[in-house]
Parts: sequence; C-alpha cells; structure tokens
Amino acid sequence: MLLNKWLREPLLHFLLIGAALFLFYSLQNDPVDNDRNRIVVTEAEIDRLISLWEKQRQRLPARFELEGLIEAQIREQVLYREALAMGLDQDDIIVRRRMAQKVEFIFSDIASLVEPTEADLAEYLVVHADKFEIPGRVSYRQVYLNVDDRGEQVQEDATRLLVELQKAEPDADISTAGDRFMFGQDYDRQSPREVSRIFGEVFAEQLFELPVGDWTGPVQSGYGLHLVQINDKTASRQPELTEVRDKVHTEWLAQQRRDGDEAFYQSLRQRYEIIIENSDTNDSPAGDGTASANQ
Amino acid sequence: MPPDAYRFAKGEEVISSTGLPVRLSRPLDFLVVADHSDNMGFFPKLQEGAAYVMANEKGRRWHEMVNAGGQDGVQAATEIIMDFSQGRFPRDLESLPGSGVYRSTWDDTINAAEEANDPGTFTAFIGFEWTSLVTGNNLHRVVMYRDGATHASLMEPYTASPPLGSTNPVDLWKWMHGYENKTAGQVLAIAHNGNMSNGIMFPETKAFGKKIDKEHVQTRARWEPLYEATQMKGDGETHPYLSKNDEFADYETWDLGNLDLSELKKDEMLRYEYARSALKTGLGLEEKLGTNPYQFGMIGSTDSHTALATAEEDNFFGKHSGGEPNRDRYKHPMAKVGDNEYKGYAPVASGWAAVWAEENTRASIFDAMQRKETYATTGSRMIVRFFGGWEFGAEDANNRLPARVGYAKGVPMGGDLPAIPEGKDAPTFLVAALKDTIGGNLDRIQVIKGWLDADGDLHEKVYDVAWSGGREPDPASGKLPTVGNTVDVANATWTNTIGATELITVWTDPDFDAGQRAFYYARVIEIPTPRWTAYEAEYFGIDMPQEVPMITTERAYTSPIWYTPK
Repeated sequence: MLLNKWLREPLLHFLLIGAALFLFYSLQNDPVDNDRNRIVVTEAEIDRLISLWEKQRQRLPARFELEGLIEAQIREQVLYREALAMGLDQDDIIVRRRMAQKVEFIFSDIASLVEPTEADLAEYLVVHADKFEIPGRVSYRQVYLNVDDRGEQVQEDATRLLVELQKAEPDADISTAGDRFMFGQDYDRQSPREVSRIFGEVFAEQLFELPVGDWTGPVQSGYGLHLVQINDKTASRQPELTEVRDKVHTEWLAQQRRDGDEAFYQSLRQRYEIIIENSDTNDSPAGDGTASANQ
Repeated sequence: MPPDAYRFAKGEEVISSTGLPVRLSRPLDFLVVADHSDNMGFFPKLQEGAAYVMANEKGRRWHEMVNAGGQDGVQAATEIIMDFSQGRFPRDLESLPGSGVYRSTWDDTINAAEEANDPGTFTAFIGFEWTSLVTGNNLHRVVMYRDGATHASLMEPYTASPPLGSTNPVDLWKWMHGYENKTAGQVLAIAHNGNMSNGIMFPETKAFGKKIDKEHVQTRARWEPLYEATQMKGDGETHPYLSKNDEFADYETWDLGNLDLSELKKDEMLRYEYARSALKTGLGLEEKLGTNPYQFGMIGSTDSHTALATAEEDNFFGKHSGGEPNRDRYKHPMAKVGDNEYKGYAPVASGWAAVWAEENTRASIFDAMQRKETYATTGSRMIVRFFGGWEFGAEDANNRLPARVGYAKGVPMGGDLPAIPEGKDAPTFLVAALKDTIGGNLDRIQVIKGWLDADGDLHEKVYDVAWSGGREPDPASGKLPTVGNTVDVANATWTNTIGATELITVWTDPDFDAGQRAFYYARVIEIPTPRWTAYEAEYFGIDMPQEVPMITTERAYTSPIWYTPK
C-alpha cells in the first residue's frame, strides 16, 4: 500500500540515518561535555595562591580568605573559557600584544642566562670604549654677568672685569665680583655631565677646552656671560677592566638580550610566508617570491 | 621595559615602541619605574637545571642548549614555544608544585632598578603603582622604596584587585605598615590625579563608608608626605572654579570626569580633587582632629607608560604608545565614551619632581621627600628655593648664597615655621628662582597662602612677590600686568627678550593673623613658550583646529611651609 511503499523509499532511509547521525553528534557536543566544562583547582595551584598571599601579607591566609582566593580563580577560569568560546581572543589588539610580549619575555630570559667569559668582557670593553670612558674633571671658579641687568654694557663690563681679575692676587676675595649666581662661584672636580647640568652643554664643551691658569672669557651659557678660571684639570681616560667590570658585565648581558631577541625573532619569522599588499616587496623565506613549505 | 626606561632617563638614545629614536635633552638625576604588579608564566627551574627538569629527556636537552647559548639557546627557545603552541609540552616539566610556573615581574622591576642604580650619578628607585580605581574613580598611588633588593624582595607589592588586594587606601597603608615592620625597610606613597577621582581623593568627612577620625588622619599623614600635583593627565594645583581670583588657575585643566569617563564631573566634587584645596581642607581637619592628613609636599611626574619620561614641550612622547609623535595623535582621544572624550591634544607635557637632597643616593633623596623638601615643575628645570622664618630682611635678597642664609635663618620648603619669637608680628619668606638654562625666562614668583579663620572658614590668596621688568600692580585691581608674549606659533619658537633669568625677594605676609592656621607655597611662572602641539604642527605641517592650545606657561609649585598657632 502507499504507506508500505513509503517506508521502503530510500530517501526516507537516508533522512532517518541522517537524523540519527545528527542526534548522535549533537549528544556528543552537548554542553555537559566532560573536559571542556571541568575546572580543576590543583594542589599546586592552591599552594601557589597561598604562597603569593604569604609573600604579600607575611602570614598565611585564613580559611575564608583562602576560599575567597580559590573562588576568584574559579571565576576567572569560568569567564576565561566563556570568552574563548565566544572567540573574544580573536581580533583583540591588547590580547595579541600581550601574547607577543609573553613570548618575548620567555625568550629574553633564556637569552640572558649565558654568562660572559673574561675574554668576552675584555673584548666588549674595547669595542664599546666610549661607554665606559672615565670622564675628565675640572675644578674652576666662575664670575657671572647678568645680561638682563647690564644690558648692552655687558661685553664692556666683562672685558673690564676680566682685566681686574687677572691683575688680582691669587687669594684675593672675589666673592662680590660680577653678579650673584645661585650656585655660587666655586666648583670642584666636575665632570662634563655635572657642568652641563647647571650651565648647559655648550658651556661645558667650551669649559673643557680651556687651559689651567689665568682668568679667561667671557664664556656664554643660557644664563648669560661667565668669566672663568680653571684651577685643575684631569683628562678623560679609558679604564682597566677591573675598574668597570660590573658595568661591562651588565652592558654585555643587555647586549646579549637584544641580540638574542633579534636572532630569535628572525628564526621564527623565517618560518612564515609574508605578503605585504600594495607593495613591491612581497617577502617570503626564500626571498624570491616563491611560497615555502614548513621548514 | 624597565631597563630601557632607565637608560633613557640616564640620557641614552633608545627606540620607542613605535620605532622612533628618542633621547632626553639632558639626563635625569633619578627615576622611579613603578609598574603595575602582575605575574608572568615562565620556567626558572629550567635555567637552574633543577632535578625534575634534568630527569626529563627534553628538559635536560633544553637545559644544555640554553647553557650553551648563542644559536643553541635560540633553538631551545623556539622548540619550547612550538611545543607549547602544539600542546606537546612535557607534563612533568609543568605540573610540579613550587616549580614557579610564573615569575614575578616584581623581581624584574627590582633587578632593573638595582642594575641602573649608580649612587652619586643616577638613582634608580624601586617602586610600584597601586592602581586603585573605584568604579572608574582614580585613587592611584605610586609606592616608593628607600631600600634595595634585599628588603624590597621580601614582600610582594600590594595590588588593587580583591581578594589579594584592595582599592581602599586604608588597606594600602596597612600593607605599608606591615612592610616596614617585617623588613625594617621604608616606603612612602604618592597619590596622583585627584582630578580624575570625581571627588574622592581628599575626603573631608567620610571615606569608603567610614567616618574620618583621628586614626585615619594620622595614618594618611604618616604614609603620604607628597602629592603629585602635575602630570600628563592634567595639572592638579587648582581649578578656576575653586580659585576664581587666580588668573593662572586654569592651566591644563582636565575636569571632564573620572578616569574612564564612566561618570562626568560635578562642581561639588572639585574641592576634594585639587592640591591647593586639599591643603586648605587639611587645616580644618587638623583643627578638628589634631593631625593634618593633607600636609603634603608637591612633586610633578610624567606617569608615562611608554618607558620614556618626557615632559618637555619639544620632545613629548605622550603617555601610551598611541600617543607617541605622529601626524594624527592630536586627533586621537585618550578615552572616549559617547560624546565625552579626553582629547588627543589634551595630554600635558609635564612634569618633573625636583628634590633638594645632600647627595644623589636613594637614602638622601628619599629622606628629602619624606621631609617634603621638594617642588613640582610642569616640565621646566628651573631652580627654586623657598624658605620661611621670622628674621628675613630685604638685605637677604642680595645675599650671594641665598640658600645658606635661608637654612640659617629659617626652614626650607616642606617645613613648619617655628613658634613666633617675642616682638615679631609676621612671617617672612625668602624665595628665589633661576630659569631653566635652555628654557623660557621667568615672568614672576607668587606666594600662595591658605588659612583657616576663627569661624572655621577656609580662605586662599595669591600674592605676586617678585617679577621681571619694571611692571607695577594696577592700583585698582591689584593685578600685575602680564609679561607679554614672544611666541611665534607657526615656527614654534620664542625669544627670551622678556622676563628675567633670575628672581629673588624677601616677602612678609601683610595679612598675618597669629591665631590662624596657615600654609604658604611659592609658584613660579615662566613667560609664554610654545606648547607641544605647536612643535607638532610645525614638524608635521599640520593645520591645527582653532580649539587646540598652542602656547603654554611652564610653572613650578614648591612644597608649602606651614604655620600653626600656639
């Protein structure tokens, strides 16, 4: 009869098999899936929470405090998994940046494990001599002329005052010469950096060119004019490794980290085919425009 | 990263996160890199060759490659990453308790500071930022350590996320107290951005639901000797609504709302947000409860998150990497919610913390901060001295070494006036300022007084005490004429043909009442100079919209000197 015929219809069989398969798979992907919905707070995790608390509070957490910590962990896991399920990690610039940063951190730590040999340090010191140079120092006196107050006369005043200073006895009291300068007249063993701090770079440069001995000038700074007398001068010099070993060591390690970071990044980048749209430089590992398989 | 921040501060050239080479015009003397505390995943035991690592074949192999260094080290790292990303990382290298699967960035912070610290030349302080946000209302503090690694590493920094941490400053102070007790170290906390706290930075009657009592004010005074009165997210000295007679009050004012613009500003919030107002509130609380919780010194800071401490107009690298120099940064808002936004041109190229310390070491600078011998600048390196006493006379302003006579006859900025001697009827102040050697000339020095009257009302007044040129205060208004303006906006230049290189004076309070609590602080203002937006426009050839400010007047705020009646 019609029903019988219908029941033997292959299409119906297909539909039934399909429905059965559908049912079967939808049961498999039911939210009550064992692994995806299981949150395990391990002993190790709990130990970690306790130790973190202790490091912060200098005591063990009370029971209710520990429960609070554990619940916070669980909450984070739940929300994190929901976020993943919703694909919130995709296309998020902050997430991307953070993850890239983590990889960098991991590598940079590995890179910084290698200790330099004596030869490494000695070589580094030679190659980067300018970094470790021990600066020259200068002891001097300066007499200041305030351009605001003196106006056009300032050059004349400077010339006249210079002659007076040159003629004066070495131990004469010059504390009232020129104008007040808040940092005073006398400076002992200043490095170029220390001179720059007060007077600016231009003044510092000129100062270090001057010879020991007589009053000279005027030298200009951002403040005005200065007459200067150099009492003592020591030249800059290159140190022995023993004098700056700690600094060289630190710098060597920093260089390692930087070089290592770059090498590491390049080794990862090589594995990718990179295409830059709207550009003449289509990059690929082979460098010749061909696609490359995994290396 | 912290090491880069220190290198930059020391005057080295570094590459910014947007790939631009950058260098400071002059090195700084000290720096605090105060990161937010956090944890990172890593494998310290691999490095050491711990027993359980060596027991695993892969672990042993990686350990050896890592120790060989060079290309082998690179290879090891690559393999580790790949294993991780493909879920092949050996379980037994991961799951052992105490394997320290994370390494604290606190250790990183401490190490970077220890490496960069160079006593006598450059001081690197250990510190962290406690980033308290109360529904978007900012209560951030920077916590600074006097100590080195030995003490600082004994305790993890306090965070602002419950349950481990808290957003209530009272809990931070408890942690600080705990730190000092446990380690015999010393710490202090510096709050910033009251302007984004929506009225909760300097509370008067209640805080976090609890009444402000004797204990609260004593605790706050103990742990917070300084306040960061100026920085990138707005100047916090005062607000034009609070200081209606102060024509310099509206400087880089950010008063739209809180940090994330989840709540807009209401006028009644303002008095609990700004430094000058808080200093006044503090007088009232001292009267009531015996201790002034807002007896703070002032500093400036950048609060930069780019590892680049830039506070100068012609070299401003912004707060976040999106705010580093580029054609469009003035257009991109810092935060935007609906129609409200912190405009891209609003960030301030500010500020610096200036400290009068005996030597450039952690101990000396920290101690100076503790006693508040500090001043804030908005990015200028001007030199400011401020002393208060009963014996200063006009001749002291002619003294060759004003600091010497200042210390001899009075107390420096941050101090308390001694009791009035017999026969004296008003306090005298010696104030001196020397311009930044490559900056703008000085316009004027002002002394700002705040006091509590007999009726319990608070007042403030701004006095011009020294100024450049032969200007005379207007007889009718009492106001000093403006100094002028030499700024050529189009070329982003100015000339020091107005203003003065140095200003110095002795000033006596003409309105002194010996029965009233008061504070005095000096504010020094430069002549107008181009703002970073002007340098931006000139460099990139941008036609800035009308609304963008192009001129700034840099300033300094000293810590106050307080007067307390007997």
